[in-house]
Amino acid sequence: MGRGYIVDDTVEVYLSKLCEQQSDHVTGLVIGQNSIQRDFVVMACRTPSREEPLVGAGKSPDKEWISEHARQVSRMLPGGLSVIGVFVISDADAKETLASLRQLVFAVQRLISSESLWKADDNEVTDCVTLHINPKSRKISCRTFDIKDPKSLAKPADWKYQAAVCSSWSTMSCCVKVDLLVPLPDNKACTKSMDECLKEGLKVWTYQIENAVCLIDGIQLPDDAELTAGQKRNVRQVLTAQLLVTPVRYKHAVFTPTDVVQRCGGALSVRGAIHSRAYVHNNKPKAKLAEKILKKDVVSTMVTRVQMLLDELLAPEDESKGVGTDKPGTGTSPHLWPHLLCLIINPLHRRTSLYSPPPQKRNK
Amino acid sequence: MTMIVDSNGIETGDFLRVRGPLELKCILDSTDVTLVRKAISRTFENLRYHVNSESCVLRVQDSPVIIWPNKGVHVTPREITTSTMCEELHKWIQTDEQEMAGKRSAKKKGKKSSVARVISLNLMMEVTKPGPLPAPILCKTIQKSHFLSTTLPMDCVVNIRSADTIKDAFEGLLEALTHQLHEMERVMLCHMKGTTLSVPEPFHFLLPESRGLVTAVYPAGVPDSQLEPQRKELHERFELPEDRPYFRRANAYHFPNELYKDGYLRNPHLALTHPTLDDGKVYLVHGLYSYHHYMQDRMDDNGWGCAYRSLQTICSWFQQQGYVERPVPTHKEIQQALVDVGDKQGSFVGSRQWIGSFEVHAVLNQLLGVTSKISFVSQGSEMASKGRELANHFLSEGTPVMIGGGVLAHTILGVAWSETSGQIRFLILDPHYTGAEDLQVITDKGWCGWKGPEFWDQTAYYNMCLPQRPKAI
Repeated sequence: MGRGYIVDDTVEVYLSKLCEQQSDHVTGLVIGQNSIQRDFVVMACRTPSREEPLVGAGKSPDKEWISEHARQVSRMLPGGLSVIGVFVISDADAKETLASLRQLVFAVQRLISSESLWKADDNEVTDCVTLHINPKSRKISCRTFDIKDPKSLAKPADWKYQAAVCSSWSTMSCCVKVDLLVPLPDNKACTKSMDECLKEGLKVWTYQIENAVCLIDGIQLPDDAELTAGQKRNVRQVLTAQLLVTPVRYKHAVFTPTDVVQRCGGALSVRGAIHSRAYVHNNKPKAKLAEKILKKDVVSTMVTRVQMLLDELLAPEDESKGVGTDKPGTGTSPHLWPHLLCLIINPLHRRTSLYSPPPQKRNK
Repeated sequence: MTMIVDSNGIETGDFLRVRGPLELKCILDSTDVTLVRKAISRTFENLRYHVNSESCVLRVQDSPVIIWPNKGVHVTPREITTSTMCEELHKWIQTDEQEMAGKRSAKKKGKKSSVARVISLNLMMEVTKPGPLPAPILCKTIQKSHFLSTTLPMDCVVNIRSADTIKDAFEGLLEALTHQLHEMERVMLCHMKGTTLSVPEPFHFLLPESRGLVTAVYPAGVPDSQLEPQRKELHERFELPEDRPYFRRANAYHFPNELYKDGYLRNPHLALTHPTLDDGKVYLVHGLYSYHHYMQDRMDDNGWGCAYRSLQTICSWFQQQGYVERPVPTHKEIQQALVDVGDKQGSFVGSRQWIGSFEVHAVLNQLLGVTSKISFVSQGSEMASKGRELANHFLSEGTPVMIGGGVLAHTILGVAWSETSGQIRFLILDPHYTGAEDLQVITDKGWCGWKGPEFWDQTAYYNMCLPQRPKAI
């Protein structure tokens, strides 16, 4: 049996509008939450058009551009929501577009996961949805691909609209104190970049968060306990999470116990707090899922934040070297961030357009 | 009720033991010794601050119980409060504790309650805080310096008495943690050479005569032989005899909930009931040994290896008492040692030839540097008159005795002897056992058991090898 997507009816309205605009070949992202039982789609958002369209691209989707859009959107999504697929509105036959949709969904997920330090476990859903909509007939063709399997074939899936899909999702939030100290290499001995050093430090940190004990409203629930047991299903619950860590030595840590003291060329420190808020669907979610969603958000928020801070730190160096041309998709320019940051989106509370500002405005 | 007789015959209560790594990380700007010491001390000070902060969390293993000792000893789940008796924590632990304790004395129900229970805790840190807190900032320092990074293997134990509440016990534990960080700091600084540092490692030692556990911190990588001054201090502080080791790493206390990974049984004789002789006394081997017998180590020595196994049991005693670091020798190593001392020809190595008490004596001397006394009886019936000699041996030396000669080899672990009546029983460990490490079988079938004087072949001659304890700490 294929996957079943429960789709918020505002998505239907949104897609219909796009169909009415008659602009052929519109692509965009499908945003929602996967769970083993069922998948939820809370939002769709169109890819912004390039200011200077690619020459000779024809009708095939601009993979690089769409992936970059997906990457930036992913960074901004609150916990529990992620880009779970792509859509295309096109006159072409659904069967004909399937191959390019397949390529597109793989490209999108590859770029998003390249930034993530989160290790997917066996229980994680790795199916992604592709949606083809004929603007005239409004016929929807919904297929999924397992992106963990490069040879995976399209599987038909169910796409069903429902009102107020996420109106009573629970929220879990926490504030994680961060105190990271990472050595920088002694130049002679090593040529590792700051970026790499920080990434290694973050890996150790991520490992600790992944293995942390998670308390929900002060209690450690069994993995298979229902998160909202005994609660009314249509009431939005606000839960507080606590994370308890053991400073375990990550197996790929830079130092072995025998090298207690190492030469270094300096250090990087990250200090402060990460605020995380994650949304969990209301279809009898298990405590384990809620925990995973929260931890994943803590990790990705931290990674994104550190990347931003590092971009800022590296900015003057980059400029003097002339890096940071108008090639989209590098995402390392700090000028981009103020634009993105002013966009506080939360599709669960407020519908805000996700497709402004276009990425190439960053160099203005 | 929860008292136990441990391997040394000492009674102890339940333990609350917390373990967990703590990260010790800092930048050493300078190689100036005073500044390095200052930086390290500051980092330790910071760790002590964390351990005494609200972030410090102790989690009872295999249970939902979590304790914040610095939040007025806050406990979850709610059913437990600060005034709950510490013993009640056992109810919350869903473990195979019975299985662990029962592996050795499985069906003997009476035994179960006599095993000291250990409540194991993990030292953790809560990283979440009630917000809001400022967003992170990134700081970069470029300066040639040194980076100190290691994890401290924290390991603290407190004894809990039946009247102790959660509050009492955890306050004690926190004190122990703070104290251990002080000790680790002291040891680390004391053994610092230039910018070379050793990780401080805690070890627990059980003092004789129910005087409880003592924790000592030793620098990793520094051998016992270089730590004699530290041990001397400990011997003085606890008024212990200065002729035998108590604080070598090998003397560290083995908690009842820890299994021996090498698979050998320890002190199987503890499962036996000692004989009662009129006006008699029981004299036993001191400390720990492991039971070596036929067919172990994938070595088929059935029919010829009994003296080798008895010798291995003796070697295991010297190793576990901390006298030697050398692992128990294999049959081949034993044979090679005999060739090396000129006792045997080269062809002896790899053969299946028997050895006797004199060879055991020679190997102990060659491989362990241990001297032995040899005692001789021309007839097994004379063994009945060896009461005083054996009693004195177990009193002063306390080592397992190998006995061989005309017939089979055995290990003598103790003697029950009445000075007035001359009645005698021998505690025998039989190396001819070929089965699995099943304590029940070994004690029920007498592979380890008390034997009367008729046990000895009344007409055969016997030689006893009585290893002597070196005088060392």
